[in-house]
Amino acid sequence: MNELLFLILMPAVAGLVPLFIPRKGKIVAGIVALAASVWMLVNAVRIFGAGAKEYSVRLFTIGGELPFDFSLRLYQFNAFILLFIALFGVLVIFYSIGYMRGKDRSSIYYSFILWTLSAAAGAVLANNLLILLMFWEVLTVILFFLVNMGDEGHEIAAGKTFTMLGFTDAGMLLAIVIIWVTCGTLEISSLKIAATGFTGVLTFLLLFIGAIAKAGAMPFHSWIPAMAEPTPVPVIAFLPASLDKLLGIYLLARISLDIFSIRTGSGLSLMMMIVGAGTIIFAVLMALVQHNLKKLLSFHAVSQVGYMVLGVGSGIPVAIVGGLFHMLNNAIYKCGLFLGAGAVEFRTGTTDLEELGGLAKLMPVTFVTMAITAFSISGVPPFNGFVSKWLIYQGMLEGPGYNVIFLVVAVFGSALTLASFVKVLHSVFLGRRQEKFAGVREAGFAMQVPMIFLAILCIVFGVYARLPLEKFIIPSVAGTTGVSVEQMAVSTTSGYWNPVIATVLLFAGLVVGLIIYAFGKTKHVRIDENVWVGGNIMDNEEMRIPGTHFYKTVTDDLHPAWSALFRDGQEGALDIYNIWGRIGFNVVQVLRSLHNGILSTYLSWAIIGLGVLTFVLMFAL
Amino acid sequence: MQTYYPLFTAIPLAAAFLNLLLSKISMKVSDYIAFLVTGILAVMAVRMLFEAPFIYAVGNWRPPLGILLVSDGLSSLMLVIINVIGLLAVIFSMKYMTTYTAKPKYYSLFMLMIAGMNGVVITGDMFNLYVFLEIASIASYALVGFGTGKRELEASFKYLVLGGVASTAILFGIAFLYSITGTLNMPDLAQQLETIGMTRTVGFVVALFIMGFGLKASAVPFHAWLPDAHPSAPAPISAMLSGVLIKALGIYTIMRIMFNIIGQNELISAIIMFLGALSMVVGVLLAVGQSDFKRMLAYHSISQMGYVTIGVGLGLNPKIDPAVAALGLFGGLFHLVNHAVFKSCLFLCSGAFEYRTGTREKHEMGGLVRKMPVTSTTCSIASLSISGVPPFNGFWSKLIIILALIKAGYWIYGPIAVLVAFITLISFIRLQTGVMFGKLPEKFSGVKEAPFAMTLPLILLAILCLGIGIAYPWIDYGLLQAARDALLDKMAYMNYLIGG
Repeated sequence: MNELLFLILMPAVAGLVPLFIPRKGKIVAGIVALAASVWMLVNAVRIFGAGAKEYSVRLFTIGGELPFDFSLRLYQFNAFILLFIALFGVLVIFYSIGYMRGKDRSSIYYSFILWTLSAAAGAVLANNLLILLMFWEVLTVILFFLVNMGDEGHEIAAGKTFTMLGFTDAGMLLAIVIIWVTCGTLEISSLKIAATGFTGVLTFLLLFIGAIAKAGAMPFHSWIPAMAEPTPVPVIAFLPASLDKLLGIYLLARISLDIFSIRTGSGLSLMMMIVGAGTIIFAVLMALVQHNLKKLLSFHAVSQVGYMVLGVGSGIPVAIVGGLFHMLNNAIYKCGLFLGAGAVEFRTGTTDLEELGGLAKLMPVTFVTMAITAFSISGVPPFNGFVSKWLIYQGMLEGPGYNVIFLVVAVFGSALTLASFVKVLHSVFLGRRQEKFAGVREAGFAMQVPMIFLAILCIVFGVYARLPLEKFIIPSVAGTTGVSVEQMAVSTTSGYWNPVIATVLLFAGLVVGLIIYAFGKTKHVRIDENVWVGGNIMDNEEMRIPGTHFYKTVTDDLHPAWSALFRDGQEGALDIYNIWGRIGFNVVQVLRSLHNGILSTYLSWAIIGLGVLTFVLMFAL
Repeated sequence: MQTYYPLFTAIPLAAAFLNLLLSKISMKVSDYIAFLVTGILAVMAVRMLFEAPFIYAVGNWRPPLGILLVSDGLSSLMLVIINVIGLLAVIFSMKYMTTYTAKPKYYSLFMLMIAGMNGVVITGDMFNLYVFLEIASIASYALVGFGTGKRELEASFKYLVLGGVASTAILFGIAFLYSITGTLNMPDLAQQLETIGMTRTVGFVVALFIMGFGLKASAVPFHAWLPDAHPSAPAPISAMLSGVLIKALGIYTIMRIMFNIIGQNELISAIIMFLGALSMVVGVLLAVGQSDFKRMLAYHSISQMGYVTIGVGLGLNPKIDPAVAALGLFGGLFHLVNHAVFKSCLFLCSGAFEYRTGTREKHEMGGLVRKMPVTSTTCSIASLSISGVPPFNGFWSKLIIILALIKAGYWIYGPIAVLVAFITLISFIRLQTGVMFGKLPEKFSGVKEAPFAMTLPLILLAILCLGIGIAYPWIDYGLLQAARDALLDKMAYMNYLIGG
C-alpha cells in the first residue's frame, strides 16, 4: 500500500479494535493504541528523510468540469509536522494508560485518540483543500466526543467547542467552494490566488479564521478556556495544546505563504500581526488572574498562539522561522505543562491554586519538569521558548517602522507570562502545604515518562536550537519566501544569540549563586526566622500564602473602566460565542411569537401566499 | 416487472382492508401482514431500479383516453424511498405501537398511506394523481390524530384544514388545466401546453400548484401545519411523514409538473428558489429554540426540504449553464434521498428514547449514552449527517447544492445555505449534549436499551448514512442520474403518449 495512505488508514483501522474491548479491560485497548501509534511514529520517521512523495486518485468530476482528487503530498514542511503529530500521539497514549487507570471511562477513548491521529495525518498530508477540510472537520467532531468524556459540565464545554469550530469550518467550506468555482482546482500545491478584490480577500479571511480558530487565537479562542476544566487532561494536552497548534499554524502558513503569498507591509499582513499581538497581550492578562491551574494554562495556550500568528503574519523570513519554531516549541512545552497539571490533579484531586501548595518535595519529578516547561514558555534562556521568541523579536526589527510596537507588545507579553508562571510554581509546588496533601505521592511511571521526555526536549531544542531549525524549520520556509536555506541559516542561527555559549555562561552564573547560597547557609549569614506581625511572632505554619492573589492589581486597582471590561472578559460577555448567542436568541423569539398556534393565522398565511404567487405569476409572465 | 406495475398500489390497498378483516381472528396477524406487504413492496421497488423506463396502460385503454402509469428514473427512485423506509417503519412499529391500542387499525391506515404515495408516484394521469394524493393525505390526517389526546387531535384538525385548502387549490388547478387543454393525461398535457405557451391561465395554475403542493411539501409560508402534525403522530409515522410523505406528495409532484409538464421557466425557478431559501432560514431558526425533541426535528424537516427545493429550483432555470442547472437538480435529488434516510432515523431515535424514558423534552433527559448506547450512536450519526459533517451523506448533497448555487452566480443563496448548515449543526449539538451527554437524571438510572425490533431499523439507517457518505465518490450514482435525466428531458416524457 502507498506509504502516505498507510499513515492515514493504519490508525483509523487500529482505532476499531478498542471498540470491541469492554470497559474493564481498557488497559489492553491502551496497549493496542500505543502499539499503533508507535508504528505510526516509526513510519513517520522513515519517510521523513525520504524526500517528497505524492499520491493522487481521481475520485469523480462534479458537473463534468470540476475534478475532485484524493491527493496527498509529502514534503519538507508537513513531513516534520507529521513526525511530531505521531510523537505526541505516542506520548499522550502512554500517559493516558497511567491517567485512565481507576477512572470510569470506556475503551472507546483510545479509538477516538487513534482516529484523531488518522485525521490529523490526513489533514496535514492533504493536497486538496476539500480533503483537508474533511479531515479538519472529522477532528472537530472527535474533539466533541472526547470533551464529552469529561467531568461535570462537559456537555456545555463540548457544545461550545463544536459550535465555534463548526462555524469556522463552515466558513472554510464556503471559501473552498468559492475557490473551486473561481480557480477550477483545489490542489493546494498549484493554487496561487491574489489576495486582492472581494473574493480574494473574502476567501483568505475565511480560511484565516478557520486556521486561527483551530489554533485558538483571539477572537476565536474562547472554546479553549471553556473546555479546559471539565475535559480529561490528556485530551487537552493532545488536542488544543499540541495537535491543534501544529495544524492551525500549518494551515495558516500554507495559506498566507503559499496560496495567497501575503507580503510584508500589506494590509492583510498588518491585520494578522494585530490579531497576533492582541492575542498575546489580552490572553496573558486573563491568565494572570486565573484561580484554576488548567484554566490558567489554557489562557496561555491562547496567548502563545499570538506569537506564531505575529511571526507568520509578518511575512519576514526570520520571523516566520521564529513563528514556526515557536509552534513546535509551544506544542512541546504546553503539552508538558498540561501533563504536569494532570499529574497534580491525579494525585491531589484538584487543580485549584488556592488549595494546592508545597508539592515540590512530594512530587519532585513533576516539579522539575513543570519548572523547565514553565521557564520555556516564559522565554527564559536557555530553554527552547526563548530561542523562538528571540527570532520573532529579531524579525520585528527588520520590518517596517511600526513593527517596533509589536516588538514591545511581544516582549511585554513574555514578561507577563513569566510573572504568571511564578505564580503557578509558587501556588502549586512552593509555599505551605495543606495537611490533607501530606500523603501525596509522585505520579506513576507511565505518566512520568512523557513529562520527562518533553522537558528534555525543551532543553535540547533550546541549547542546540540549530538542530531543529536546520532539520525541520528552515527547509520548510526557505522555498516559499524566496530565501535560500544557507542565507536563512546564517541569519537565524549566527546573528544575535549563540545558545551554547550563553548556556555555559548562565550555568556558570547559577553555580556561583549556589556557592554563595551554600556559603551563607553554612556560615549562618542567613537565618530563618518566624514571621513577625505587629509585635507578635507568628508560627510559620499558619502563614500560608496562596499565589492566587499575586496579580489582583490587574483586575482591581487600575482604572475602573478597565476593571469592568476585564470582568466582562472573564465572564464571557466579550466572547463572540455569547454575543451571537444572544442575537440569535432574539431573532428566534420574534419568529416564535409569530407561530401562535391559531389556525386562522396559519390559514391566512397560506391564502396570502397564494395571492402573492398569483399576482406574481399572472402579471409578470 | 412491467406487468406487475399496478401492484404497487393494489397490494397495499387490498392489504389495508384484508388486514382489518383478518385481525378479527387474531390481533397478531396484522403485524405479519404489514411486515409481509411492505417487505414485498420494498423488494419490488429495489428491482424496479434495474428496469428501463416504460409505460403501462391500465385496462389496455390507449392514452390519452385511459389512465397511464409511467415508470422512469424519478418514479423508481421515489418508490425505493417510500417502500424501504416504509418497511423499516413497520419493523419499528411492531414493538413501539404496543403502547397504543387498535394496532390493526394503525396498520390499515399505514397501508393506505403507502398505497396513496405509491399511486402518486407511478401515475401518469392528473386526476388519478389527485385521487391518490387524497388517499395518502386522509390516511395521514387520521394517523396524526392516532393518539387521540388533546394535542394530537388539535394537530390533526389543523393539518386537515390546511391540507384541505391545499387539496382544493390543486383540484382547482387541475380543473383549469382541463378547461384549456381538454385532457388529464400528463404526457398529453405536456404536449398541449407546449403549443399553448405560458398564458395567464397557465400562470394561475402554476400559482395554485405551487401553493397546493408547496403546502404538502411544507414550504414556508405554507408550513404551519407541520410542526404540530409531525411531532403528534406516533414516532414511526413521524418518520414516514417527514422522511417520505412530504417528498412524495410535495416535492415529487412539483418536480414532475414543473419539469415535465410546464417546462423550465426562469420566473418559476426564481419563485421556487426563493421559497426554498425562505424555508431553509425560517425552519432552522425556529428549530434552534425548540426543547421538544420531535418538534425540533419537524422544524428541521422544513429547513432541509428548503435545500431540496432550492436545488430543484436551480434546475428549473433555463437561463443558466445547463450543466450547472443539472448539478443543482442532482444535488436536490441527492439531498432528498439523504434527508429521507437521516430524518427517518432521527424520528425513530426520538421514538426509541421516548419509549424508554417516557419524555420528549430535551432538558428532562441527559447522559443517556451510557444507558442506551445503540440508540445514542445512531442518533449521533444521523445528527452529524443532517448537520452536513463529513464524511456522512448530508455533507455531499449540501456541498453539491452550495457548489451549484455559487457556480450559477447566486452569491446570496450560496452563503445562506452554508450558514443554515451551521445553524443546523448548533441545533443538533444542543440535541446531543442535552439528550445523550451530561448528567443522567436519577429517575432514568434504570433505563435499558430499546428492544431489537426498534434498534434494527436505526442501525440500518445509520449504516446508510455513513455508507452513502463514504461511498459517494466511488459509486456511480446511476440511480440519481436517471432521475435527473428523466426530469430534464421533457421531450422523452411527452413521447410516453405514443408509447415511449
